[in-house]
Amino acid sequence: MRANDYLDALRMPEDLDRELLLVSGFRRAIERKGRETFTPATRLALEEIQRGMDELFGHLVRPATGDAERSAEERLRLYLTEADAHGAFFRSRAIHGELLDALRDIRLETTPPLQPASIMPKPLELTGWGMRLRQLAERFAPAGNSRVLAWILGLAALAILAFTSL
Amino acid sequence: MNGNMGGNKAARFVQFAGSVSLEQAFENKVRSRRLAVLMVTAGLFLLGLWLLSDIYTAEGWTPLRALSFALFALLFAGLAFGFTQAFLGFLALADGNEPLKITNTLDPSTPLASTAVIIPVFNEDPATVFGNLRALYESLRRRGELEAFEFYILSDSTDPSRAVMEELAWTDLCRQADGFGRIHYRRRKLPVNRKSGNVADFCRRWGHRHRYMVVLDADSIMTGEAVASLVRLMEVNPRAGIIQTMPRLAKAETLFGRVQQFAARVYSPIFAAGLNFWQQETGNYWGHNAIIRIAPFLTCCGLPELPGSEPLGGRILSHDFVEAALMRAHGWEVWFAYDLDGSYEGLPPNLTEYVKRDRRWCQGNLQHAWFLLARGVRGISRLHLIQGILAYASAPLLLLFILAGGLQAALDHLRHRAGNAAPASSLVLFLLTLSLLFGPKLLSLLHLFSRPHELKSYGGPWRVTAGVILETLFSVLTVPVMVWFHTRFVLRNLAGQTVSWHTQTRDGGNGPRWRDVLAEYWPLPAAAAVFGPAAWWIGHDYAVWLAPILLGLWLAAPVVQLSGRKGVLSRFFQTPEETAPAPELIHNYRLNLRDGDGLVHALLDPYYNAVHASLQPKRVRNAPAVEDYVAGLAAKLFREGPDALSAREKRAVLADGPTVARLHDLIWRTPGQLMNPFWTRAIEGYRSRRPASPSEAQRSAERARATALLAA
Repeated sequence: MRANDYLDALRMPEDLDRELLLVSGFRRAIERKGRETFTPATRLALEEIQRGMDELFGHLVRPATGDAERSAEERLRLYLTEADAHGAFFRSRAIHGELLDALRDIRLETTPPLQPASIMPKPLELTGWGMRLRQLAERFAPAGNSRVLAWILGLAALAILAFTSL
Repeated sequence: MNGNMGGNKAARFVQFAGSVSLEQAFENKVRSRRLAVLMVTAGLFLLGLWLLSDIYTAEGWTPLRALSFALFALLFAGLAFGFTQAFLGFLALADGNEPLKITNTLDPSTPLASTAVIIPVFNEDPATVFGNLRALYESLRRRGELEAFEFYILSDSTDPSRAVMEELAWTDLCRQADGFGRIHYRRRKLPVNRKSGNVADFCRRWGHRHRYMVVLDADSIMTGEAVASLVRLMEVNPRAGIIQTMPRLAKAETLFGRVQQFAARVYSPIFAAGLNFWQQETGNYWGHNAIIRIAPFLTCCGLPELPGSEPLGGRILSHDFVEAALMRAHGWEVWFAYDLDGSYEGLPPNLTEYVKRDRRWCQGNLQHAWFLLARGVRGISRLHLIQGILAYASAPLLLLFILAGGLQAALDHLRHRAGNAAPASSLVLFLLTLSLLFGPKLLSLLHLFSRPHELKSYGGPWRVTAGVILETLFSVLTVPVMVWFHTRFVLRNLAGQTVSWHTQTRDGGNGPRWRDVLAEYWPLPAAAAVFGPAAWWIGHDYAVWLAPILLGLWLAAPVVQLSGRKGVLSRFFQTPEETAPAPELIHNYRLNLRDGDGLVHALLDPYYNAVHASLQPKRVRNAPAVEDYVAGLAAKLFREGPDALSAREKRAVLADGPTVARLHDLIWRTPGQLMNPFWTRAIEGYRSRRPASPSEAQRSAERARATALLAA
């Protein structure tokens, strides 16, 4: 079931290639299960499916690639060469040399080479008025930070205005 | 005159100006225009002040009236200036032959230059961002002008799910559109200095790769023709540092969005023409849908740190006005291509989202006060900055004006003083204020009626008139809400605080949830419940004066909720962008993206996992402590599922390509009973052909089939 789910997740069409991949994977998994009794069947099946994938697509990945990354690299190539074209890989390993080289060199480059430039922040130069206002603001900042004090001052100012307007 | 006029028009202009040079003629003309704006504004302003002083003199001056008078002066100046701009814009459009506009210099045969189209994004919907980009990409391809452009999605997204989906959207878009090498994607690990820092980072990395950059927002859409025209305008105007377009609002679906869209479409042409009429080469920059010459941007627009700390100091939030001011300070021109078609932007779907956006803009604009006090900033740039500040600061001033007037009226009522002592002046002032408020709407309607072909795309004369009336009623109801929010934002910022949001708006087409709306807006009807009876006690006439404001407060919650719905009053508020949209607006470029959590897909989907793992920077070797930390997080993620990790921890796991690849293998290869049920359920989501729980008969058939195949 899990192996089938995985091939579904790979959007692999339900065709003979898929059946062969599954069957050969299951066969190897069953053989291994006889030797490795305590290894879960799900794991064995998925590992053998992956081995089947390696046999089909492993040659598209640079040889030095480690096991951990190999599977991801294979899938990346499948993805970039369109999932619909899977069949071509299944049916023939004899891919044209140039295409093979190109596939081996596939690397996702998200950005172009750097052509760096400099953009330096310039300090803000305040006028004389600006400097004075800045000092004033710094002096009264603590009052503004207290919400209660700000309300008291505001209401007091309004009350004085109202009283003098009576 | 910098060559900013087409050949015939330039010649006509020189003839008109006499024997002076083109440059001088331009300066003289612009000076006379600015003088006209000043005179009309000053005339209206002084008339308003004179009428109010006549009223107050008759009623007797008091400190409260003096305060009201000062506040009125500030508010009325803005009103008079806005009306003047609209009026002169109306005249300029009626003349139909504006010689002084940047688009007069457009020559379609001008060769294009290397241009970067940059889209800074921050936790946006990838389908929208990449769909809009694809529309522009295909538009340029159809025109055969793609070669000159490269596209950069500059992500600052901190949401791990969104970040993963952006990578996949980028890969999918490049695959579909053959865009590898032309469409680029870069995500910063930390959103330092937010959008301005994002753009500056782009400049540092690729500043010498392109001559221009077209800056788009996540919801911006531009046609290929508009973008190519901007590049050509830059090429023929070598002193232009920035050219800003007039983005039209588009793609709104809710009532609120469509009302704003309609209002902007109907009213903005005369305001935009009026703005260009006087500002000319001293224009402003609105942060998107504009083109920037990169070389002067690098030398002039390094943004300074402001004195003090946030919200009013520290890093600059709204960079656009400041960058325009800095360009101008260094002698570069900033133009407004107000009549260049093909520039669009989206807008928030409801009033709550709208004011959330205003909250950020308010803080950013208030920070600009520092630049009013800075050396080297030109006069008209200061005027732009003041306008930006007053866009929000006018709300508390208006509230204080109303409160001071109300308090004085209450005191008069207590002392049994006579009511209106100067009825004639009061009436004239009332009519004058109404004219300044609603005059531009009438002028806009008049302008539209003079263009029968255009009028059809608004649904015809009756529908557009009804739309204007309904929009006016809607704005009367929503202005008190906006005043309330803007006042809160300004006061909080002045007190050194920012405004946080308690609720999250979930909009499924039926508007924001009632519960959220009531939780956010209950103070408004509560205020109306206090001030309504108080106004009635002061005097019935006074209560009638205040009625529109009180009505807006009473109805705030239902107005916000109902206007956030789709399909309400859909016969009205039609715009040309709805009835005859540009192809770029109705594109249907679908990305082949799975729904759901990007993090889960990055771990489970074989392709997403491969793409994400390959995009992570290759590390030679992490420090053991870092490796242990990431391994511990990965183990926790596997054991307990994604909810057990914070966003920061998720980002740490996702940033490690080999770990992501290993987790993929581990989850798929572990039997369901040995791992967290979350992963089992998530894996079932990828099952496409078989039912989730096959029947016993199906299981037997499958077993038989497998046995037969094995035997074969």
